[in-house]
Amino acid sequence: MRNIHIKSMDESNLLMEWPGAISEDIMREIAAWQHAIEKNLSPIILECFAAYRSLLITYDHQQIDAEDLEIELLKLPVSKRKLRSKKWQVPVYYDEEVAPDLKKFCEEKKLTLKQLIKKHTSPLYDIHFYGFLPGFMYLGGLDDALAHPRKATPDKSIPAGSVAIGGQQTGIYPTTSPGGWHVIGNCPIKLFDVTQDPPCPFKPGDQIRFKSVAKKQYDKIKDEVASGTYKYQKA
Amino acid sequence: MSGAMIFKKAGLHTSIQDMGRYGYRKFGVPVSGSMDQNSAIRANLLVGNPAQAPVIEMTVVGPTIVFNANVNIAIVGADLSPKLDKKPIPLNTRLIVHEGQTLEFGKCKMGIRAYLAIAGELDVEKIMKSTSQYPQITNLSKITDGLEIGLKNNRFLDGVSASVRVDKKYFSEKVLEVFPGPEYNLLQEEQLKSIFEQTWTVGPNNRMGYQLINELMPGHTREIITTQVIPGTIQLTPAGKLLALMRDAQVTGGYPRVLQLTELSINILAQKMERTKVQFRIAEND
Repeated sequence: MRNIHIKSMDESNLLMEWPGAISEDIMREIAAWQHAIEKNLSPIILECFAAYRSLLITYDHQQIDAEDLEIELLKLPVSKRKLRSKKWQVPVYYDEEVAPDLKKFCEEKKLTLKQLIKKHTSPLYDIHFYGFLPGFMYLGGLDDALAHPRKATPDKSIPAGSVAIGGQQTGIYPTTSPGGWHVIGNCPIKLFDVTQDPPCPFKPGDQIRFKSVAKKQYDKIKDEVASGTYKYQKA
Repeated sequence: MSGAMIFKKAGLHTSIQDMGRYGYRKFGVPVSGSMDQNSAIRANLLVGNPAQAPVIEMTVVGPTIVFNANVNIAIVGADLSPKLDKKPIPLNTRLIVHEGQTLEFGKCKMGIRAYLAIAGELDVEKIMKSTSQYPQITNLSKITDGLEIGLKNNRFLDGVSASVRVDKKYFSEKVLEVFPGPEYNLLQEEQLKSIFEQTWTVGPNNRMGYQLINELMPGHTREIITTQVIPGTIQLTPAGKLLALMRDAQVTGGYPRVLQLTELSINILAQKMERTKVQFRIAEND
């Protein structure tokens, strides 16, 4: 265990923190810890969930206290092997019709639409964790050339499915919400569905690649999603 | 049995809450649950329900409910002047309501959130292991005018009474006990002085969070990398406000987490009205 700091947050929450910059290595190490905790300590743990460099553990304080939990954590068999992860293809319709900020974004970044699409669809993005909104993925791997400061004043309502860039991050708004990122496209597939367990099709640790689709394909996928026949595609 | 209770008027913000939705924060779903869990638990225990059973959380202006069955109820928490068929009824007491009677509320006299428990099981939707209402998770994000709620396993008993004493200090308590938060060390001398030596004013608030304001508090420009927040986490905003996150808070945030409320202090804060004065004190033992 390398330099993990364990801090008590309150009577029933413990925070494990990893030093250093955001990285795929740390993401995988945190996922291995989360897996070991869920597998071995489930009766005393209500849940644990990850962020970029940390894992938060909510425990039942009637069964164990912070000190004893820390001792249990240090005894855990945490696998060094990579957890299996999947690669998914996520369709995006890059067009002003669904992305009001697209033209301005290209102008400000001095990119043609074609260049923007190429840069946005090339990387395999790591899903570090979910946060902000139910089903909102924190993705790692945005091309530096696409990084762009957030809007000074957030928009009141960004439609569900909007694919956007804010700072050095890119993401998809799973539901309609306020937000300060630049919308460059729309993704027709469902990223959060309360009727499914798990509610999200992709797991933290999985990777996604965006695929540019034309209007016709976008509409077809929308219809498939609405009728429940859409199948998530592997990248 | 459907429609054991009909909400003729929903009130200001009335919702079904239990002890929260655990196991789904890894998908970005907030915990939710009763804001003042002490009061919710007491209400349930008074009517013989399990402590974690769903209750009706009422805020400042209570609902008007007509009962279509004989039931036992208890109301614990804020004093929203409850009346049964226009006659005042006591808080913190197991009560009998007969079919056809109307429960209404009046002036908000003490605290802001009251909890209504009914002996039996509320027939409400359970999504992801919890009945707590939250927008886009449950079909209803709160109780609306005209809503009917059924009661399963109605355990009505005539003539059994019970009550519990609740110290008024629970509602007048000014001191919020806190643990140092994960980014406590970012606080400068002057900020520490403002936090622990001065009085803070409760600002705009809702189930997601409470703004706490002190004009003398210096701001900062420290952003941290997006990380976990939990109910009770107090963030320091760039403008120098403190934001105490409550039960419906997002699961992650990017402001420094300078303090963390104790569980008891979350419940105490949940009863505070805007403009109330509060003070912070480091919790003595963890």
